[in-house]
Amino acid sequence: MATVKWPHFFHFSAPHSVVNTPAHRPDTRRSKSYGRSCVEPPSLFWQTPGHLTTLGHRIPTSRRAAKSHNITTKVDPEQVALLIKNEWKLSHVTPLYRFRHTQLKLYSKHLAAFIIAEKQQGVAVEVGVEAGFKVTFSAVLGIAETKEDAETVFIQVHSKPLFSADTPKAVWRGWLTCVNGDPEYLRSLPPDFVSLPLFCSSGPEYLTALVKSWFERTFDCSFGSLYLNSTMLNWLAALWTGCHPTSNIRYLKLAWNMPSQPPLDIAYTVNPQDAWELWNSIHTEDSTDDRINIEEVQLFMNGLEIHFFRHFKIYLSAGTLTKVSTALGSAHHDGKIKIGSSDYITTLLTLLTECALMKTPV
Amino acid sequence: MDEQARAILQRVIRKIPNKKLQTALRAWDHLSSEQLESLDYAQPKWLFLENLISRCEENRLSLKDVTKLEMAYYIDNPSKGTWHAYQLFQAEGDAVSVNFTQFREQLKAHLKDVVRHVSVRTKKLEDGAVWIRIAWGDNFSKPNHLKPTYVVHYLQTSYVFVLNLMSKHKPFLYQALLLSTRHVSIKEAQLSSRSLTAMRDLLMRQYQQVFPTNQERTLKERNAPPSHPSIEKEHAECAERRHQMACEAFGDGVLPKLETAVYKLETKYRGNSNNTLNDKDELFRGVVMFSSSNLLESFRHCVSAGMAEGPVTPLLSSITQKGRNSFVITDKVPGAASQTPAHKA
Amino acid sequence: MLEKAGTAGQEKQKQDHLKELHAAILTLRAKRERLFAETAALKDLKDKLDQGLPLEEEETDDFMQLEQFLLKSRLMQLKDLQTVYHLIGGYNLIESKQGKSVCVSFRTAFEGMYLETYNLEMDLRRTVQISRHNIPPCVPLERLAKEHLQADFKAFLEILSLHLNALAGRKQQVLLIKELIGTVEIIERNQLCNFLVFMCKIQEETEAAVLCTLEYGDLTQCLPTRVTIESENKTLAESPQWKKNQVLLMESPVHSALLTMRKVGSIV
Repeated sequence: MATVKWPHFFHFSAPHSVVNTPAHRPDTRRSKSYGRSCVEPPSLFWQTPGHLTTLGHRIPTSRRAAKSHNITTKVDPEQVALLIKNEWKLSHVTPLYRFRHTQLKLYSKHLAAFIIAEKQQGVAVEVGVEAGFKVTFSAVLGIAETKEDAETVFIQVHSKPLFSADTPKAVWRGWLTCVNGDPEYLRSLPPDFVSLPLFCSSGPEYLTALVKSWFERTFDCSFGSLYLNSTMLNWLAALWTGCHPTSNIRYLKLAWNMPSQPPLDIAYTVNPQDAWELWNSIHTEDSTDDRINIEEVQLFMNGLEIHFFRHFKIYLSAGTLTKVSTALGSAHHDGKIKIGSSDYITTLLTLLTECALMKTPV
Repeated sequence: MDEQARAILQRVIRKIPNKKLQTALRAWDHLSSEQLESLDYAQPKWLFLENLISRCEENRLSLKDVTKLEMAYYIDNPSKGTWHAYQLFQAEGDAVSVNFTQFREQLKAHLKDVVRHVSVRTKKLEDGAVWIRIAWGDNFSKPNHLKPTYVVHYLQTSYVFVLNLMSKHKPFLYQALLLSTRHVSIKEAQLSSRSLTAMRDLLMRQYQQVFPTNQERTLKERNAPPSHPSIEKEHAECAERRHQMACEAFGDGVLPKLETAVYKLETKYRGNSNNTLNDKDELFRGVVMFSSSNLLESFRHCVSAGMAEGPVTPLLSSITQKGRNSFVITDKVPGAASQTPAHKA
Repeated sequence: MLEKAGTAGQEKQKQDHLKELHAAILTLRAKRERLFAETAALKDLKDKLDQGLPLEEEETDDFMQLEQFLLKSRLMQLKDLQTVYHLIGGYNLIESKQGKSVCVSFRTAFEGMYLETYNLEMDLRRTVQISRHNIPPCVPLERLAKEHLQADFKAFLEILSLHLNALAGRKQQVLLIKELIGTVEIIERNQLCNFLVFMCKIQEETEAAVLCTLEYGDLTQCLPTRVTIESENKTLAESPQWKKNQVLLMESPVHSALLTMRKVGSIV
């Protein structure tokens, strides 16, 4: 137990112990949903359940300001276009056991077979007119930012219509990604584990459930809904507003929900230039490494809330910030996002990867 | 029945839920009870419609008869589409003595004076509401019954509610309304909602308002000692005061079901005192939209629960006091630091 | 023995009672003397005040007391006046929002029966302005305010009160027709109740009927300014009996006019 950062990383205090590769593990382990929870002496784990720590203890208090870069120079523009189209529902995923980017073709077949089998068993409630499903897994190369980040995997489910003349229609899309994931954490993963902590899906709920269930069975992982707390939404509001001089954000729209009877929704759409000027009066740009502090973000949001209060005398703090949107994208606290522009995709995904990792039990 | 009549019939029948079809057709009173009984109301709509059309043709029903069914549908379902309120100003001396017959005749005559092809149908309901259906044409084309304008007016009041009015028809309707109600001017009232009933109740004050009529209490409040021996009592009194304040601003009991209110803010930035934006004369522009299944009840609860600070800002109490839900807020004196924003129509 | 003891006891009781009465007389007398003195002093003080004479030291205390008494009596007078206004269907004023506004309530009545109460809240800062109210939309409030509010506040309240009372009265008459004379069919009425058309049946057996149109030109009144009698039977409408009925409808509330008409056999 002589290594650093205990208790955050106490699991890895003995990386060279007997069971450092999951392949040698006894079968009991596979029934657990925690990715890597039994490397450490079990006694410690059992005695201190309260210490089941997460990366949540390491919320950054500053980040790099969003910088526009044309991602289509590194990534296939067609693949980027797919990410921008839809509204995505977010989940977090524990590391995948024995996931191989070289086996995507095989996974495509397996998942298709799994979906068809489940449908035939009648487990899935939805009964469509589809004669069958075609699944494609593809790697979206170039989204990853660091060498620790695993490459993004994109999955599409097409339904094969009854009449073969029609072309297959994409009925479900989803992707797993990791952008600027905590390098220390990623390096500390045992071999055979791949961390793609952020899962985005778009399509019928039953297909999402089937895909998740296949992943859980195949890669011994576990999914959970990812909600975005107000701190995250505040970050996005400030980061996006900061982009305005280089890329027109068109509007900054903030939505709150007040717990009144009946509930009250408040949507405040701020003129982009005015929002930016407020942000600019708070944020001092330093030339070398443009970083934004959490204090600045809070001042900015407070400034907007105070201006609102001076008019309506309503304490927005009594409610919940539910949504932040600009032309660059939108994020809802119940875990739904839209990507409006590919230019700032990295900033958004970095933030969401961090959110997902925070939720992952370590 | 011509194409238009069929199209209108089809549209109305599609909107009415299956289980309400029979009642609606009975109320229409254009088919015999044998004909009504011969229809199968559980049939799919397209099949039902075919059977209905053949009954209508048996009775030689015309476009005019079908528009009556459409009108009855809108009267029963006044929450389809967005209604806009208008207000009449400067009543002439004889405005209070205009009766329904005069009003109807005058309105029709004035509309026909300016639009050659126009079809007007009116109906006065029990509660005094006059419903008007206008199908507009022009000098060359017959009235388009597929896009009628609906107008609801309570005689002797200054309010008019309009659904589905194209801006090119606005001057014609304005003029006809002014002449037939004996008023000099008409303006948009900055109130719109899907619920005609909510708008009417709000503008005509058909909800329970609270007035400071209890003199005992006002006197006691003003003479109350600054501190109370029992904090609990103080809290209860505080809560009661907040509740009273909320009710005085928004009303008591069930309130008109207004769903939205929009404020366009064109005011100077009012943030923390040490903020640099305060020095600028430039405006901090934005739009605030409130929405709820019952906006006034939400606001009342916000105030009485302490989620909003009292006294209630005139911005919010203007919804009930002025009967509006669309505002443009500007600073009273540009350049001067004014804390009370003015309302601009 | 017992009996004697009883009478002796009674005797003693009587004596005690007498003593008590004597004492009461004495205290009352003393009180009367004191009040006499106080009244005299106050009268003296009032005279001095009225004549503008200087007051002595001890008299200042009395003066304070006097002022309080006078204020109290003024308050009571005003309260009584307020109640009277209230009772005769006038209005009631209440200050609110720390004196920044005033709330007027109008209690309406017809034939000794209290009807709706209407309220009007007015902002007193700068010029007097109506901030909110629950007055029916058909009452020409905007016009009345324009004509009177700034010029004469009291006149405004009085005329508004008249309007509201008359409206309540006319409304009540329509209700009473429906309630008391079921054979009369109301053809048309409006929100302001200043236009009323109804049909009266002349005889049970025949369809013969008379159409009466009542127009109320003066909105501060409960009585019509114009009554029109129409019938398919021209001679009937022109008959002396119906001329009388027309006058009756002009001069008495419509429900009582109709009751009289039924009594004399003009209508069924």
